[in-house]
Amino acid sequence: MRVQVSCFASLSGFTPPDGRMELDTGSTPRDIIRKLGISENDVKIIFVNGQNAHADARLSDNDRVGLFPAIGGG
Amino acid sequence: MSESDFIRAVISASRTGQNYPFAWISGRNLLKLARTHGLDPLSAQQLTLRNGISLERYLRNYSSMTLKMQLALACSRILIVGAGGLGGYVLELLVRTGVGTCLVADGDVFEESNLNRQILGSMDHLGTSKQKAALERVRRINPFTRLELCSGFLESSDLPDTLMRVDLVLDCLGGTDFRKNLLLAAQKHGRALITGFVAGKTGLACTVYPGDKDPAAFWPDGREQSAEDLLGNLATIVCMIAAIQAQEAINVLSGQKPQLRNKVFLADLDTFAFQMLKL
Repeated sequence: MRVQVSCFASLSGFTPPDGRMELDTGSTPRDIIRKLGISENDVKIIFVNGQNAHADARLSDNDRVGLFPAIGGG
Repeated sequence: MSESDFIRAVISASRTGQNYPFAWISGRNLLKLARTHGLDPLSAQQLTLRNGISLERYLRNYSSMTLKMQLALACSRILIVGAGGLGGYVLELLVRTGVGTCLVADGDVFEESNLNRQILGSMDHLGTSKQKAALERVRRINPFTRLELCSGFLESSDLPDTLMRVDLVLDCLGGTDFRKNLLLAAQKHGRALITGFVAGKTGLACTVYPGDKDPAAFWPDGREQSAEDLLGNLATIVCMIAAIQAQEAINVLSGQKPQLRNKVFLADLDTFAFQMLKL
Protein backbone atom coordinates (compact mmCIF):
# COMPACT_ATOMS: atom_id res chain seq x y z
CA MET A 1 0.00 0.00 0.00
CA ARG A 2 1.03 3.59 -0.47
CA VAL A 3 0.80 6.33 2.20
CA GLN A 4 1.65 10.01 2.26
CA VAL A 5 4.14 11.04 4.96
CA SER A 6 4.96 14.55 6.20
CA CYS A 7 7.63 15.19 8.81
CA PHE A 8 7.52 18.62 10.43
CA ALA A 9 9.93 21.12 12.00
CA SER A 10 13.23 19.46 13.04
CA LEU A 11 12.06 16.19 11.40
CA SER A 12 11.34 17.79 8.01
CA GLY A 13 14.54 16.37 6.49
CA PHE A 14 13.09 12.86 6.92
CA THR A 15 10.08 13.49 4.67
CA PRO A 16 10.42 10.95 1.83
CA PRO A 17 10.79 12.16 -1.77
CA ASP A 18 7.37 13.29 -3.07
CA GLY A 19 6.10 12.58 0.44
CA ARG A 20 5.12 9.03 -0.52
CA MET A 21 6.11 5.62 0.89
CA GLU A 22 5.32 2.09 -0.20
CA LEU A 23 4.52 -0.09 2.84
CA ASP A 24 3.37 -3.62 3.57
CA THR A 25 -0.30 -4.07 4.38
CA GLY A 26 -0.89 -3.62 8.11
CA SER A 27 2.06 -1.27 8.61
CA THR A 28 1.94 1.30 11.40
CA PRO A 29 3.38 4.78 12.00
CA ARG A 30 6.07 3.05 14.11
CA ASP A 31 7.14 1.12 10.97
CA ILE A 32 7.39 4.41 9.07
CA ILE A 33 9.51 5.97 11.82
CA ARG A 34 11.91 3.00 11.72
CA LYS A 35 12.07 2.92 7.91
CA LEU A 36 12.89 6.62 7.75
CA GLY A 37 15.65 6.21 10.34
CA ILE A 38 14.08 8.57 12.87
CA SER A 39 14.79 7.94 16.54
CA GLU A 40 11.45 7.05 18.17
CA ASN A 41 12.26 9.42 21.02
CA ASP A 42 12.35 12.31 18.59
CA VAL A 43 8.71 11.81 17.53
CA LYS A 44 6.47 13.51 20.05
CA ILE A 45 3.06 13.23 18.41
CA ILE A 46 1.55 11.48 15.36
CA PHE A 47 -1.47 12.33 13.22
CA VAL A 48 -3.15 10.02 10.70
CA ASN A 49 -5.56 11.70 8.29
CA GLY A 50 -5.52 14.80 10.50
CA GLN A 51 -6.49 12.85 13.63
CA ASN A 52 -4.20 12.26 16.63
CA ALA A 53 -3.09 8.62 16.39
CA HIS A 54 -1.02 5.99 18.21
CA ALA A 55 2.33 4.75 16.85
CA ASP A 56 0.82 1.27 16.53
CA ALA A 57 -2.32 2.29 14.63
CA ARG A 58 -2.89 0.09 11.54
CA LEU A 59 -2.59 2.18 8.40
CA SER A 60 -4.63 1.89 5.20
CA ASP A 61 -3.88 2.66 1.58
CA ASN A 62 -3.72 6.43 0.86
CA ASP A 63 -3.55 7.39 4.55
CA ARG A 64 -1.81 10.68 5.37
CA VAL A 65 0.67 10.47 8.24
CA GLY A 66 2.17 13.49 10.03
CA LEU A 67 5.10 13.20 12.44
CA PHE A 68 5.98 16.00 14.87
CA PRO A 69 8.86 16.57 17.29
CA ALA A 70 8.37 18.42 20.56
CA ILE A 71 7.55 22.07 19.79
CA GLY A 72 7.27 24.78 22.41
CA GLY A 73 8.82 28.00 21.19
CA GLY A 74 7.19 31.40 21.30
CA MET B 1 -20.80 66.34 35.57
CA SER B 2 -22.91 63.25 34.86
CA GLU B 3 -22.55 60.46 32.34
CA SER B 4 -25.45 61.92 30.36
CA ASP B 5 -23.58 65.24 30.12
CA PHE B 6 -20.61 63.32 28.81
CA ILE B 7 -22.69 61.46 26.21
CA ARG B 8 -24.32 64.71 25.09
CA ALA B 9 -20.86 66.20 24.59
CA VAL B 10 -19.74 63.09 22.69
CA ILE B 11 -22.78 63.27 20.40
CA SER B 12 -22.11 66.92 19.75
CA ALA B 13 -18.44 66.19 18.85
CA SER B 14 -19.26 63.15 16.70
CA ARG B 15 -19.56 62.96 12.94
CA THR B 16 -21.58 60.86 10.50
CA GLY B 17 -21.01 59.69 6.94
CA GLN B 18 -22.59 57.64 4.17
CA ASN B 19 -20.64 54.46 4.74
CA TYR B 20 -21.48 53.85 8.38
CA PRO B 21 -24.89 53.46 10.09
CA PHE B 22 -23.58 55.12 13.26
CA ALA B 23 -21.76 58.28 14.31
CA TRP B 24 -18.12 58.29 15.40
CA ILE B 25 -15.75 60.48 17.35
CA SER B 26 -12.03 61.07 16.95
CA GLY B 27 -9.66 59.75 19.59
CA ARG B 28 -8.33 63.22 20.39
CA ASN B 29 -11.81 64.62 20.99
CA LEU B 30 -12.85 61.65 23.10
CA LEU B 31 -9.71 61.91 25.25
CA LYS B 32 -10.36 65.62 25.74
CA LEU B 33 -13.99 65.00 26.75
CA ALA B 34 -12.97 62.14 29.06
CA ARG B 35 -10.56 64.49 30.85
CA THR B 36 -13.16 67.26 31.12
CA HIS B 37 -15.73 64.84 32.58
CA GLY B 38 -13.33 63.08 34.95
CA LEU B 39 -13.43 59.76 33.15
CA ASP B 40 -10.55 57.44 32.41
CA PRO B 41 -10.09 56.68 28.68
CA LEU B 42 -11.34 53.08 28.88
CA SER B 43 -14.56 54.03 30.68
CA ALA B 44 -15.10 56.87 28.21
CA GLN B 45 -14.68 54.43 25.33
CA GLN B 46 -17.09 51.91 26.85
CA LEU B 47 -19.75 54.59 27.49
CA THR B 48 -19.38 55.93 23.97
CA LEU B 49 -19.77 52.50 22.35
CA ARG B 50 -22.64 51.61 24.68
CA ASN B 51 -24.46 54.67 23.37
CA GLY B 52 -24.10 53.54 19.76
CA ILE B 53 -21.21 55.82 18.82
CA SER B 54 -17.98 54.37 17.50
CA LEU B 55 -14.44 55.66 17.67
CA GLU B 56 -12.86 56.84 14.44
CA ARG B 57 -9.96 54.44 15.07
CA TYR B 58 -12.34 51.45 14.77
CA LEU B 59 -14.18 52.50 11.57
CA ARG B 60 -12.26 50.02 9.44
CA ASN B 61 -13.18 47.19 11.81
CA TYR B 62 -16.73 47.62 10.50
CA SER B 63 -18.65 45.64 9.24
CA SER B 64 -16.50 42.61 10.01
CA MET B 65 -17.01 43.76 13.58
CA THR B 66 -20.34 45.28 14.55
CA LEU B 67 -20.66 47.98 17.18
CA LYS B 68 -21.98 45.33 19.59
CA MET B 69 -18.86 43.20 19.05
CA GLN B 70 -16.68 46.30 19.43
CA LEU B 71 -18.34 47.05 22.77
CA ALA B 72 -17.89 43.44 23.93
CA LEU B 73 -14.22 43.71 23.06
CA ALA B 74 -13.86 47.03 24.90
CA CYS B 75 -15.42 45.46 28.02
CA SER B 76 -13.18 42.38 27.92
CA ARG B 77 -10.14 41.62 30.05
CA ILE B 78 -7.35 39.36 28.86
CA LEU B 79 -4.13 37.97 30.29
CA ILE B 80 -1.16 37.71 27.93
CA VAL B 81 1.51 35.45 29.41
CA GLY B 82 4.81 36.19 27.68
CA ALA B 83 5.58 39.50 25.95
CA GLY B 84 8.20 38.12 23.56
CA GLY B 85 7.65 36.82 20.02
CA LEU B 86 4.03 35.65 20.10
CA GLY B 87 2.99 37.93 22.96
CA GLY B 88 4.25 41.13 21.32
CA TYR B 89 2.26 40.52 18.14
CA VAL B 90 -0.82 39.28 20.01
CA LEU B 91 -0.76 42.46 22.11
CA GLU B 92 -0.28 44.66 19.05
CA LEU B 93 -3.21 43.10 17.18
CA LEU B 94 -5.64 42.98 20.10
CA VAL B 95 -4.88 46.51 21.27
CA ARG B 96 -5.33 47.87 17.76
CA THR B 97 -8.60 45.95 17.36
CA GLY B 98 -9.92 47.36 20.63
CA VAL B 99 -9.56 44.96 23.59
CA GLY B 100 -10.37 46.93 26.75
CA THR B 101 -7.99 45.62 29.40
CA CYS B 102 -4.79 43.61 28.98
CA LEU B 103 -2.77 42.14 31.83
CA VAL B 104 0.74 41.36 30.65
CA ALA B 105 3.12 39.02 32.48
CA ASP B 106 6.77 38.75 31.54
CA GLY B 107 9.75 39.21 33.86
CA ASP B 108 12.30 39.22 31.05
CA VAL B 109 14.40 42.02 29.55
CA PHE B 110 15.23 42.44 25.86
CA GLU B 111 18.38 40.86 24.45
CA GLU B 112 19.74 41.49 20.99
CA SER B 113 18.87 37.92 19.93
CA ASN B 114 15.17 38.77 20.49
CA LEU B 115 15.18 41.46 17.83
CA ASN B 116 14.76 39.06 14.87
CA ARG B 117 11.10 38.52 15.83
CA GLN B 118 9.88 40.42 18.87
CA ILE B 119 7.94 43.49 17.78
CA LEU B 120 8.09 45.20 21.18
CA GLY B 121 11.88 45.17 21.14
CA SER B 122 14.25 47.67 19.52
CA MET B 123 17.88 48.71 19.89
CA ASP B 124 16.68 51.29 22.41
CA HIS B 125 15.11 48.56 24.56
CA LEU B 126 18.13 46.28 25.02
CA GLY B 127 18.40 45.41 28.71
CA THR B 128 15.03 46.95 29.51
CA SER B 129 11.87 45.21 30.69
CA LYS B 130 9.55 43.66 28.10
CA GLN B 131 6.57 44.68 30.23
CA LYS B 132 7.69 48.31 30.19
CA ALA B 133 8.09 48.17 26.43
CA ALA B 134 4.55 46.80 26.22
CA LEU B 135 3.23 49.70 28.28
CA GLU B 136 5.06 52.24 26.12
CA ARG B 137 3.79 50.64 22.89
CA VAL B 138 0.16 50.40 24.04
CA ARG B 139 0.11 54.04 25.15
CA ARG B 140 1.31 55.05 21.70
CA ILE B 141 -1.06 52.91 19.65
CA ASN B 142 -4.30 52.90 21.65
CA PRO B 143 -4.69 55.06 24.75
CA PHE B 144 -8.21 53.62 25.24
CA THR B 145 -6.77 50.22 26.21
CA ARG B 146 -5.89 49.78 29.86
CA LEU B 147 -2.65 47.89 30.28
CA GLU B 148 -1.89 46.33 33.66
CA LEU B 149 1.49 44.78 34.38
CA CYS B 150 2.03 41.72 36.55
CA SER B 151 4.97 41.80 38.93
CA GLY B 152 7.17 39.87 36.49
CA PHE B 153 7.23 36.17 35.60
CA LEU B 154 4.06 34.50 36.84
CA GLU B 155 4.51 31.80 39.48
CA SER B 156 2.02 29.01 40.04
CA SER B 157 0.98 30.69 43.30
CA ASP B 158 0.04 33.88 41.36
CA LEU B 159 -2.29 32.08 38.98
CA PRO B 160 -5.54 31.76 40.99
CA ASP B 161 -5.83 35.51 41.70
CA THR B 162 -4.55 36.57 38.29
CA LEU B 163 -6.90 34.26 36.38
CA MET B 164 -9.94 35.47 38.31
CA ARG B 165 -9.26 38.99 36.99
CA VAL B 166 -9.60 38.05 33.31
CA ASP B 167 -12.02 36.54 30.78
CA LEU B 168 -9.44 34.84 28.58
CA VAL B 169 -5.79 33.73 28.71
CA LEU B 170 -3.31 33.99 25.84
CA ASP B 171 -0.44 31.55 26.29
CA CYS B 172 2.44 33.23 24.48
CA LEU B 173 5.21 31.51 26.43
CA GLY B 174 8.32 30.17 24.81
CA GLY B 175 10.52 27.24 25.80
CA THR B 176 9.23 26.75 29.29
CA ASP B 177 7.55 24.08 31.39
CA PHE B 178 5.24 26.75 32.80
CA ARG B 179 2.88 26.26 29.81
CA LYS B 180 1.49 23.13 31.45
CA ASN B 181 0.96 24.84 34.83
CA LEU B 182 -0.83 27.70 33.10
CA LEU B 183 -3.06 25.32 31.11
CA LEU B 184 -4.02 23.31 34.20
CA ALA B 185 -4.70 26.44 36.25
CA ALA B 186 -6.84 27.98 33.47
CA GLN B 187 -8.90 24.79 33.31
CA LYS B 188 -9.25 24.64 37.08
CA HIS B 189 -10.44 28.24 37.27
CA GLY B 190 -12.86 27.98 34.36
CA ARG B 191 -10.94 30.19 31.95
CA ALA B 192 -10.51 29.60 28.21
CA LEU B 193 -6.91 29.64 26.99
CA ILE B 194 -5.52 30.18 23.49
CA THR B 195 -2.05 28.77 23.06
CA GLY B 196 0.53 29.18 20.30
CA PHE B 197 3.83 27.33 19.87
CA VAL B 198 6.41 27.52 17.13
CA ALA B 199 9.74 26.12 15.95
CA GLY B 200 11.69 27.18 12.89
CA LYS B 201 9.06 27.73 10.17
CA THR B 202 6.36 25.56 11.77
CA GLY B 203 3.71 26.86 14.13
CA LEU B 204 0.55 25.66 15.83
CA ALA B 205 -2.34 27.20 17.74
CA CYS B 206 -5.18 25.76 19.80
CA THR B 207 -8.05 26.96 22.00
CA VAL B 208 -8.76 25.09 25.22
CA TYR B 209 -11.92 25.54 27.32
CA PRO B 210 -12.26 23.65 30.59
CA GLY B 211 -12.87 19.98 29.76
CA ASP B 212 -11.59 20.26 26.17
CA LYS B 213 -8.79 18.20 24.69
CA ASP B 214 -5.47 20.08 24.84
CA PRO B 215 -2.25 20.13 22.81
CA ALA B 216 0.15 19.48 25.73
CA ALA B 217 1.38 16.31 23.97
CA PHE B 218 3.27 18.61 21.54
CA TRP B 219 5.20 20.34 24.30
CA PRO B 220 8.59 19.15 25.55
CA ASP B 221 8.78 17.41 28.93
CA GLY B 222 11.38 18.65 31.38
CA ARG B 223 14.78 18.67 29.72
CA GLU B 224 13.57 17.04 26.49
CA GLN B 225 14.98 18.82 23.46
CA SER B 226 12.43 20.95 21.63
CA ALA B 227 12.56 21.64 17.89
CA GLU B 228 13.05 25.40 18.36
CA ASP B 229 16.35 24.69 20.16
CA LEU B 230 17.65 23.35 16.84
CA LEU B 231 15.74 25.50 14.34
CA GLY B 232 15.37 28.86 16.06
CA ASN B 233 12.16 30.88 15.58
CA LEU B 234 11.53 32.95 12.46
CA ALA B 235 9.53 36.16 12.66
CA THR B 236 7.25 35.05 9.81
CA ILE B 237 5.80 32.04 11.61
CA VAL B 238 5.73 33.83 14.97
CA CYS B 239 3.70 36.65 13.44
CA MET B 240 1.37 34.22 11.65
CA ILE B 241 0.59 32.12 14.72
CA ALA B 242 0.13 35.26 16.83
CA ALA B 243 -2.39 36.49 14.23
CA ILE B 244 -4.31 33.22 14.52
CA GLN B 245 -4.29 33.49 18.33
CA ALA B 246 -5.44 37.12 18.15
CA GLN B 247 -8.30 36.38 15.74
CA GLU B 248 -9.42 33.48 17.90
CA ALA B 249 -9.32 35.79 20.94
CA ILE B 250 -11.52 38.28 19.06
CA ASN B 251 -13.92 35.43 18.21
CA VAL B 252 -14.17 34.41 21.86
CA LEU B 253 -14.36 37.91 23.35
CA SER B 254 -16.88 39.29 20.86
CA GLY B 255 -19.27 36.37 21.21
CA GLN B 256 -18.40 34.59 17.97
CA LYS B 257 -17.74 30.87 17.70
CA PRO B 258 -14.18 29.83 18.56
CA GLN B 259 -12.67 27.81 15.71
CA LEU B 260 -9.85 25.94 17.41
CA ARG B 261 -11.50 23.91 20.19
CA ASN B 262 -10.32 20.28 20.23
CA LYS B 263 -8.33 21.08 17.09
CA VAL B 264 -4.88 22.42 16.33
CA PHE B 265 -4.21 24.86 13.50
CA LEU B 266 -0.93 23.95 11.80
CA ALA B 267 1.04 26.26 9.54
CA ASP B 268 4.20 24.98 7.91
CA LEU B 269 6.09 27.67 6.01
CA ASP B 270 8.61 25.12 4.68
CA THR B 271 5.92 23.71 2.40
CA PHE B 272 3.15 26.33 2.77
CA ALA B 273 0.91 23.56 4.14
CA PHE B 274 -1.96 24.70 6.39
CA GLN B 275 -4.07 22.12 8.17
CA MET B 276 -6.57 21.62 10.97
CA LEU B 277 -5.57 18.63 13.11
CA LYS B 278 -8.08 16.92 15.43
CA LEU B 279 -6.93 16.19 18.99
